[in-house]
Amino acid sequence: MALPWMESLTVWGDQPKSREPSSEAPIRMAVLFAGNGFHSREWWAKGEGKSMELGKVLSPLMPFREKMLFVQGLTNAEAQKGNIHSSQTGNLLSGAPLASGGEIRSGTSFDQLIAQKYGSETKVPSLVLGCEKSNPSVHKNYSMLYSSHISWTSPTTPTPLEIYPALAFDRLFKDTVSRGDQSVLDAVLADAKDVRRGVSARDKQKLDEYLNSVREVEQRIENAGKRGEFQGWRPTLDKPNIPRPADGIPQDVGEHMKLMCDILVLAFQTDTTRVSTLKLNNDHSSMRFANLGIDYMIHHLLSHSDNDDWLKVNQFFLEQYAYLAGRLDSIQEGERTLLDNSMLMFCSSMLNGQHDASQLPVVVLGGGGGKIKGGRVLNYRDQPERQMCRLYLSLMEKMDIRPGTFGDATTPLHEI
Amino acid sequence: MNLLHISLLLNLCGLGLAHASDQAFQSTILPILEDYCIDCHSAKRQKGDLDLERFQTMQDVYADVAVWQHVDEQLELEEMPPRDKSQPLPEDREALVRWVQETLQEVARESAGDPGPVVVRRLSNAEYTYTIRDLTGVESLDPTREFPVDGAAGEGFTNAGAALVMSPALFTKYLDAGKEVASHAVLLPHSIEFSEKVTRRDWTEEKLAALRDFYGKFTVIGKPTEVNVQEVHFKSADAGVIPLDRYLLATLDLRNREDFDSKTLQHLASSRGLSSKYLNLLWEKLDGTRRSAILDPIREKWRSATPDDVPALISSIELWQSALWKFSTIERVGRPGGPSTWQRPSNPEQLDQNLLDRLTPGSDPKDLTDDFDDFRSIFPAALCYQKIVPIDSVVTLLLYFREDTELRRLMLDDAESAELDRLWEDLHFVSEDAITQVDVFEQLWQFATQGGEENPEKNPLNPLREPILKRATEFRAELIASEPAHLDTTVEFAAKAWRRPLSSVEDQQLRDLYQNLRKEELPHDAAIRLLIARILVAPNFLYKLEEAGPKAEPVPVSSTELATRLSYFLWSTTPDVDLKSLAVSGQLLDPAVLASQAKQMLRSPNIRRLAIEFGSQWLHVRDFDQLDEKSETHFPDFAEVKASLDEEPVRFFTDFFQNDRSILDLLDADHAFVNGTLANYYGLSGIEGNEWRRIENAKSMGRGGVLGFGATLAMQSGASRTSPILRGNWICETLLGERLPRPPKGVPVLPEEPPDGLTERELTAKHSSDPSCARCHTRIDPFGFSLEHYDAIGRFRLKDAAGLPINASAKTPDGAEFVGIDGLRNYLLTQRRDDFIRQFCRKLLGYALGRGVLLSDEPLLDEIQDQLEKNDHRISTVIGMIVRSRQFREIRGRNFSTTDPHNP
Repeated sequence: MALPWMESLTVWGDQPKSREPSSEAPIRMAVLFAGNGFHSREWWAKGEGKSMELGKVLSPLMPFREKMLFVQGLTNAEAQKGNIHSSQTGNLLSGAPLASGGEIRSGTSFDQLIAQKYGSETKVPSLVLGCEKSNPSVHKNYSMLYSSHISWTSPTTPTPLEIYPALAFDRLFKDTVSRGDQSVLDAVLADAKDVRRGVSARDKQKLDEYLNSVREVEQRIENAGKRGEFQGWRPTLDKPNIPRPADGIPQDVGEHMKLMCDILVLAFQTDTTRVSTLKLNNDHSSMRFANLGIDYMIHHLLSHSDNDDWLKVNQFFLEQYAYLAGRLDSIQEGERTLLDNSMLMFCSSMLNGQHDASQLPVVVLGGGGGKIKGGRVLNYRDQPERQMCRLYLSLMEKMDIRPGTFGDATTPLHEI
Repeated sequence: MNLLHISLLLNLCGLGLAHASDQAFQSTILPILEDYCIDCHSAKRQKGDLDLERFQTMQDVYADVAVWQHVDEQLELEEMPPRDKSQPLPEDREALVRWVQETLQEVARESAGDPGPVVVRRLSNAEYTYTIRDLTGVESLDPTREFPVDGAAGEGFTNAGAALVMSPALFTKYLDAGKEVASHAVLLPHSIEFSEKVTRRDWTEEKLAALRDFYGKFTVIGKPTEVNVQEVHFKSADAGVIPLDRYLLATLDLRNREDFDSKTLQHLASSRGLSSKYLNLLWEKLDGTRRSAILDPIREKWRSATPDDVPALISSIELWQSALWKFSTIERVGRPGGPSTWQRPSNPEQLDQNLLDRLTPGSDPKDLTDDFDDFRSIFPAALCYQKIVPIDSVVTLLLYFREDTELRRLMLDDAESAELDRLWEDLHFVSEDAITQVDVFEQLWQFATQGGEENPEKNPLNPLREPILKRATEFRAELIASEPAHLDTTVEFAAKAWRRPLSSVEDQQLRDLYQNLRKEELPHDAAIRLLIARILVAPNFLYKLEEAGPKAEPVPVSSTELATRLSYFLWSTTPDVDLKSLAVSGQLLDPAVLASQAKQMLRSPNIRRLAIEFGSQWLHVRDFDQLDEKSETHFPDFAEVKASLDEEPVRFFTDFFQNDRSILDLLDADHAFVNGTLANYYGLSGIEGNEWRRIENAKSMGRGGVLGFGATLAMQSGASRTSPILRGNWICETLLGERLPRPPKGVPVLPEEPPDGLTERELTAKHSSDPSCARCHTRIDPFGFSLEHYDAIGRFRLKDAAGLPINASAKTPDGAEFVGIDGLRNYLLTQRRDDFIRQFCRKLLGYALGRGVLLSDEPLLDEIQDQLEKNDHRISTVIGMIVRSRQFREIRGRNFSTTDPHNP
């Protein structure tokens, strides 16, 4: 079952309280990603508020114009250095240089930075979801792992994606505590510490992935055993109100994406996690869209066609985004909706199917807890400092995270 | 690929190099750099993050060789200087290229054999699965079915450490997988084994099946006999009887031999799956001389019998069997007042006429007891109660009934008897029938009381209670007594799983954990299972741990670590018994032993895993059957052939490794492997059924070698049409190892269907004629064009999707012209043979080492290529040289450090 959000704070007095219980709902942040960019002429927005006009790709967002930021002209300098596709994706949320030649190195992504800060306050530090399996190969001198991972726990650890709805549900709500587990975890933690001794620095780093993973699982077991008094704000839902999804992956792409969105809503509504990334597909994606009657071409090749079907597929992705926003907006958390308390960023690795990453497509929906004013188009194309990482600094700032510098950026975007 | 680490090696190897060549660098090379490169790549501008200005001496160059590899690549691709900038004079370019390459070669020689940066490797999903299957012996286990797909790194394989990550979510999956595997553990009286199944009921069925199989090896099911259960009559075939026909035929064969000894008899028995013990007894009986009123007429017939007479002989024997033996209801056996055995001698009070006719004339039917016994001693009506679970009563007290004394007496040797006892012991242990029996008894006792019996003390079942309770108590004691054996077995399992002997501390820790779990009130069974799960989530299992030397220098890995390297390289699994014993004795450290072991392992069926993990993965068709990238509208039946298309390369590579074929066969093979489905798909006639077979003359049918795989041809196509670009790129990059410049930003758009009158080829050509694209596409497209006779799902065709005739002619930038797959094959085998071989060896080396191939590996690749020329290009040559190499057998020191900021 879900733990109300305050519970993971220590209430038994074995650790000092880290902060006063808040009476306000926390801010949640999600990134949705679609690979291969969008239709070259139909990704645009102009005007303001209710009268904002949108390109056809964005038409599903019409109902949300007043809660929407259309951000234009930002770029990720490191993503322009390597090759195409994978090397434009693996550092999208970090702005870090990517290692090539079959090495794997990027940077910790900003969602994981947020998870590090708030992870201990929720049952699950972050939820990293996807709707397409990762591609196990090396493409143009870069591992395709970069194409399928935007979320990075550390510079050498791309966070594995959950693509099975049922297992994503389990990750949030399955009670993992069974008798003896704790002893097993203690034992393997001791193993890991043992083997960690006397290995090289690189191997230490690798084994730390293991060590940290076990620790987090252990932490969760400890937290699950705690029951405290409820103080301050409480989530509007304390256990899932939908059944566990069926095992396996739905045949229909749309159904799969919708299920993942439902799980994300549930995660935020129960405050089981506050940060999530959802990769609707990979960059260099092989998805086909029989549900739209477009099965003659895979997503990646379709992106090179730039035709009406490509537009249709783009809209389909934006519909998922709109569906998520709509669901969140229908949930009241006091005076604001859950969407108002969230920041939902939608992005891709390139502007269009021609690998153009000189400016990245970005939309942010949601009010960031009343800190973001929607209904605006922001254009940075002609500004000297137009790093994508500046946006991340802005979003993190809303959640009281101020690392000073992030990626290649040193200041947030002041307009946001 | 960053190779700054080499600087340190050079420091170790001596600095002599630098001074000798400094002068040439400064007088010849620096000026060229100044003229054509430094403008953009200055310390100040650093265009493309490249600063060439900082290289002032050879020492600087050696300290950062990676930059020069990059420069080499850019020069080779003619990417630099950019076309719109001033170009070097041909002699300058040549001088620069020569210098860069010589410098790189020099560095490669100096650092040759460096084990390289191999970060500790987690088992890949495939390795994990194979290892679990081999450890448990349960092939059906698929614990990673819902794991995230592993990423690829290094040379593009999923066995490179960098891409094998861990996360809390994944760890939880490993824990669940470990528990799932443990749920398959079956606790036996003296050990633990693993089963496909997870319930006691299923395990009991398995044990019953094992027992029946055992009986079935010696007996056949007898004719059904009448059973009467509470007025319900039915027939039950529950006796395991002597397969008289086979034994009699064997005796006829023996009879026809002039003379034979016990060896002949044994040989005959074993070649026919007969018990030599019984064959011998039967022979002696039939060939014997003791007078018997019953046997003598049978012997008489036997002496002159031909195989045709065997049925008649059998009828004679069976007549006497049914007369001289009788059976009881199982339920009554052992009951007070009941019979002691199921099969008992009957004393025929009155022989019927049929039998009397068969007696030796003149014998006195009244005094035949000895003859009866004599007959019974060799011809029991049943050897065993084959059914084991009695069904001849409505409510059965006995769960399992054992009667196989005749089988033991007549057929089993000591080992077989012991085996039979063990199987029965297992059945009792696994089924826990001694405990269940108590409940069954109580129910039956109630049942018996219901018959109007006023006084429970008179219940006829009462005398049975005490023995049943006693047996249950004994069994509980046996259960407890078996616990230490289970713990021991589990600790032994840890050593197998961890691929090395345990230290005494580890041994103790595992035992302590078990004790702790028991203190947490886990039952024995659950504690053992959790201990198994704990072993399987340990870093010692999940990671291929290796101990580095304390300093910077590389040291050889230990013999157990080497066994692990070899086993995962070739079989993707934990070392087997042979390999482990070579490791334990230390012999494996001898490169000759290592190489010969590798050669032996190539012949094993396990090499199929290398075929999948290396072969299919190299060609980008691993898990082809799981991809869903083809249009159902265009190719509605494609889903049905995917599995066969996926299997073809696996069969091909398995054969390639097992039979030590030539690397050139990968291109040039004139054979292919197909089943009925695939043959039909490929349009080959006369091949039906699921069975896979090798066909010859494949080239004449448009197949043969990797170029003809339907899977690769389909993989490198779109969802509905072919893509000469994808196929051409695959040949360039995957088969030839060419590096292509990055595609330009803003590539022109391709329409999804060729405009009217344009073939797919012409559409591609149109796209590639764009000047910014042409540079690469003149290299890529011709290869793709030559394969245009294959459609988007790999079938041969004469017309393209628009119905236009295929043009499969190609012209490459090096001036070669060829047509179709045969032309392409020929071109690759002649013009590009060395490139292909180099690429294959590079990929295999990268796979073996679990990392990208480095500059320091180039000398090894040179050497391998030399040796291949002298050894018919046999694959065993490459494998042997890889495993003998220093990089395969050594590990970098713990304190190996580099100055590379990107590669700490």
